[in-house]
Amino acid sequence: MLRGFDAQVTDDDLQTDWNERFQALFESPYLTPFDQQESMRLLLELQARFNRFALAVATVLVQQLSVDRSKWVILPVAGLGVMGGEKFVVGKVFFKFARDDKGLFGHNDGLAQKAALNEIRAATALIQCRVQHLHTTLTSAIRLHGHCVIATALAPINNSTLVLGSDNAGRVLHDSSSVMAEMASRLAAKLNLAKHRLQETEGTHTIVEYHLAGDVEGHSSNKDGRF
Amino acid sequence: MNSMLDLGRLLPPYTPGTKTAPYGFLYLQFRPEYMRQRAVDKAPPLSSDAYTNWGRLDAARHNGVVHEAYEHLLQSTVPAAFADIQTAVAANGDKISLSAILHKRGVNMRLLGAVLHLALAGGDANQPVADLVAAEMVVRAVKQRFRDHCRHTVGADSLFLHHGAALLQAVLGTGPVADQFWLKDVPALVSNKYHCQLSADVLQRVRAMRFDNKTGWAGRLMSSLDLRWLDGVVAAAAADVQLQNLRQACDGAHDAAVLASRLQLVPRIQTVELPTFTTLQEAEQDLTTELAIREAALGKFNPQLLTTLLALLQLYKTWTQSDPKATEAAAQGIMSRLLEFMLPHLHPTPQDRVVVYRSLADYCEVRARYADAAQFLTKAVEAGEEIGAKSLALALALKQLGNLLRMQGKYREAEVVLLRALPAIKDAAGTEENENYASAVAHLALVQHDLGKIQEAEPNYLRSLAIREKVLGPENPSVGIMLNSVAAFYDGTGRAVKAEPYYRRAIEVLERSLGPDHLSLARPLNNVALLYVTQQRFDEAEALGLRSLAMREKLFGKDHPDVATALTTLAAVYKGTDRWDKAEEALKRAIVITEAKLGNDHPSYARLINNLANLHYQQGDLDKAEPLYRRSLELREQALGPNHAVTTSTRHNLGALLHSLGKGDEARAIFERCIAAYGQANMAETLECANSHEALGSYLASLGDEKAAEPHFRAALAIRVPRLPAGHPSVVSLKERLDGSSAPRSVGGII
Repeated sequence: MLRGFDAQVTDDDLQTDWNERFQALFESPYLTPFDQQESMRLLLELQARFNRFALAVATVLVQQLSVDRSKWVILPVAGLGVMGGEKFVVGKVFFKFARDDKGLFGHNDGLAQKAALNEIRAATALIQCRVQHLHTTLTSAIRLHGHCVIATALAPINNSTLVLGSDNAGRVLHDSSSVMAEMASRLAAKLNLAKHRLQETEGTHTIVEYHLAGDVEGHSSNKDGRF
Repeated sequence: MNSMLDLGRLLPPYTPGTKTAPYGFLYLQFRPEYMRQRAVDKAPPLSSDAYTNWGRLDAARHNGVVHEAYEHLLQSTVPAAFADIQTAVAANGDKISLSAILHKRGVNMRLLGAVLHLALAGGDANQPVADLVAAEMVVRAVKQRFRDHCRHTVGADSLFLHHGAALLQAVLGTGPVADQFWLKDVPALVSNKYHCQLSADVLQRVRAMRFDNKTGWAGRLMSSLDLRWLDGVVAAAAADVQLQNLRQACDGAHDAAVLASRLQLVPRIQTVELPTFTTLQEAEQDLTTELAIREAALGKFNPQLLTTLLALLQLYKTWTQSDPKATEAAAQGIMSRLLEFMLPHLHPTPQDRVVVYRSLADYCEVRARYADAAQFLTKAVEAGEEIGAKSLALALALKQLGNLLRMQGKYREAEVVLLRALPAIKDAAGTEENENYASAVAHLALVQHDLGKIQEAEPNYLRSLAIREKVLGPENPSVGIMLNSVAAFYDGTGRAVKAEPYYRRAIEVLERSLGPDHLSLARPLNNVALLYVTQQRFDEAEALGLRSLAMREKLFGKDHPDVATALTTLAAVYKGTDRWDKAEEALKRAIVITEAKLGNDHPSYARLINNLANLHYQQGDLDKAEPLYRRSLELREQALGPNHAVTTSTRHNLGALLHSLGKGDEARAIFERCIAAYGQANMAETLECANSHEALGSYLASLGDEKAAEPHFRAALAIRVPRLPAGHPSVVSLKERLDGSSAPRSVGGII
C-alpha cells in the first residue's frame, strides 16, 4: 500500500452507476440559487467519491505491475483493444494506463500521459462551454509511482448509438443526427473550431463536413430517458 | 442523452510534430483558454484535424490558418502573458503562480522557453522574472525525470523513494554529485523539454535560490515530485524551518536511503473541472443561441424546440425573482409562442402538454398572476386526466394546483385538490415514502394551518418531515428546510417554546450540510429572529436579523427583494426596542427595493406599506397611516380578492385605525365585514378572526353596550383557548374582561 493512504472499495462503489448519477445531476433543473448550489454540491460530492474509488483501484493496478501476472487481482478485459496496454473494468468504471505501447511518441510514456491528460482538459472545456443537453463522461487521471491511470465512468453507448465521428480511424464517418451536429457546431463556435471536410478511407469514400476532429465520437442514446 | 467521448483531439494541434514524435498533434495542442479568446475576438476558426491525415482534404488552407494562429500565440499572446508576469512579480514578488498566469492567457507551459527568452532580452531589470521562469523550467524538467525513473522501477515503495531521495540530493544538495548534475543533467533535461538552453549564470542563480527565503523553490519541487517530507507537508509557503531541515538532510545524507526514509509518496488526481455557476445573462445567451441554431436546423415548429423554450421560460422565472422588469417582454414572447404557435401546431402528447402548462403556471405564479396560473394548471390537470387517473403527471399537476389555490386564499378548494393529489402520487410511486408525497403533505399541512385545522395540520407537518428524514437522511438540506416549516407552524400557533428547538435543528442541519453562508439559512435565521422579537429577546433577534441581511446582501446584492424581507424583520426588532427612526428607515429601504424590483402593485409592496402603516399607527401618526392602509387594502383586494385572509388582516388594521380617528361607525362595519369574510373563507376558527371579534366587542363595549359585546368576547376566547397556551396574555385579558375583573380596553391590536 501507499503509505498515508488507506481508501477502501465498498459494495456501493462497485454498484454505483457513476455516469447515470453524473448526468442526472447535470440535467437536474434549477429554480432557485439554492437549487443551483445544491446541484453543484452533489456534483462535487459525487466526483470526490468517484476519485476515491478510482484511486483505490488505480493503486492496486499499479501495485500488481510488480508481481507475476498470475497473481494479479484485477484482470484485464479482453476485446477492448491493445493501444495503451491492457484495459480494466471495475464496477462501472473503465481503467486504462496512459502508455506509448505503439511507439506513437517514440516510446515515450511521458508524452502518452500528456496526450491522455488532454482528454481531461478537453472534457473540462466541453463542460465549461455549457452546450445545453450535451454531456461527457466523468473522467479522472490518477498519477502515482510515475504511472498515469485514466478512470472513465462507463456510459450506455455502443456502435449503434454512434451518430457523429468515427470509432474506426476514419474508415466510416458517422453523421446521422442533426441535433448532435447542431451541438457540435455550438461547441465549435465557442472553441473557435473550423468546419472542415473529411473523407472515409473505405467503402463509398463519402465526404462529410465536421466541426470537430474526426475521432471525437458523438453518441445519442435514450436508454436512460434523457435526450 | 447526447454525449461526446474520446475528446483527446477536441482542441487543434499547434505543431505538425517532430521527427522523433510524429504524433505531436496528440499532445501539442492549443489550450481552451486561447481558443475561447479567439472565438471572442472573432479570429479565423482552426481545424482540429489540421496536421493530420484526417484533415488531408483542404490541408493547405487549414494548416495555414493553424500556423498563423501559432505565430499569433508566440508573437502576441506570449508577450502579453509575459507582461502579466512582470506586473504580478512587481506586486507580489515570487509568490505567484506562473501556470495560473500563463493558462489564463491560454499559453502552454511548454512555451516557457519563449517566455524566458523575452525575460532575458529585457536585461537586468527582468532578472527576477527570468530566474523565476528558469526555476519553473528546472522543476518541471526534474519532475519528468523523476516520473520516468519511477515508472521504470518495479518494486516496493522504498525503491521509488530511493529515486526521489537521490534526485533531491542532486538537485538540492551540494558536493561533486550535485555539481555534476547541475552542470550536465539539468541543462540537458531543460533543453530536451523546452528546446531552450539555460546559460551557466542563469543555472547558477536558479540553484542558489533553491532555499532562499524570498524565492526558494525547494518546497514546491518536493510537492511537484509527488513527495512529501515525512515530518510534515512541505509546500511553497512552508515554514523556513522545514526547508532548513530539508537542506541539512540533502547536504548531510551520504546515503540516499537516509533521506528516503523521511519521505512519503503522495498520489495525485487530475479530474474534470466542473463548471462554475453561470450568470443569468450568460445562460440566456446560451439558450437563445441554442434556440436560433435549432430553429435553423430543425425549423420553427419542431418538438425539440420545446425543451429550449421551456428552459428559457424557467430561466426567466428565476430571473424574475430578482428583476422581473428585465425579462418581462422576453418571457411574454416565449409564452405567446408556446400558446399561439407551438401547442396548436405541434399537437403535443398529453405528457408534453402537462409539462408545458405547468411551466407556464410556474412563471405566472412568480409574477403573482394567479388567475392565469390557475387557468394553465386546470389545463395541465385536464391533460393529466387524459393520461390516466393514477399517472404521476396528473398527481404533480394537482399538487401544483393545490398549492396555487392556497396562495390565492382558496383554502377549502386547495385542501380538496391536495387530498386528491396525495393518493395519486402514492399510486404512481408505489409508496408514500418519496419526495413528491412529502412535498404534497407539506402543502396540505400549510392549507390546514391556514384553515385553522391545527389538529389536522400538525401530524401532516410531522409526516412530511419524517418522510424526508427517511428518504433523504436526517442531514439532508431538504430536511433542514422542512424543520424550518414545522418550527414556523409551532411559532405561528403560539407555541414558541416548541418551535425554537426545530428552528435550532433546522439551522444546524443546513449549516452542516451546506455551510454557514448558504442562502437556505437566511429564512430560518430570519424566522428565529422574528420569534425572538415576539419573545422580546431583541439582542439575539437583532444579531440573527443582521446575519440574515448580510447573507442575502452578499448572495443577491443590496437591492434584491429577499434583502427587503430581511429589512422587514430588522424593522420589527427596531420597533420592539423603540428605535422608531431605524425601523422606519429599514422599512422604507425595503419599500424602495420592492417598488423598484417588483413594482408598486405587487403583493409584497402591499405587505410592506401595511407594515409601515402599522409603524405610523403605533407612533400615533394616524394621518400618515390611513392612506397606506387604504392603498395596501386596495392592492390586496386586486391581487388576492376581497375575502382573502391577508386582505382581511389589512381591513382589520384599517378598522382599528378608523376607530382611533373617531370614525366608529366605519370601524364597526369593517370589523363585522372581517368576521364575515373569515367565515366565508372557512377561517372562522382562526386567531385572526378572534382578533376581529375582540376588536368589535371592544368597540361595542366602548359604546356601553356590554350585552352586544359579550358574545364577541366569548367567541374570541373560544377560539383562543384551545390554540394558545393557558397563560397567554390575550387569553388572560379576555377572561378577566368577561369576569369583570379588568377595565374595558380600547380597540387596538393591529394584525
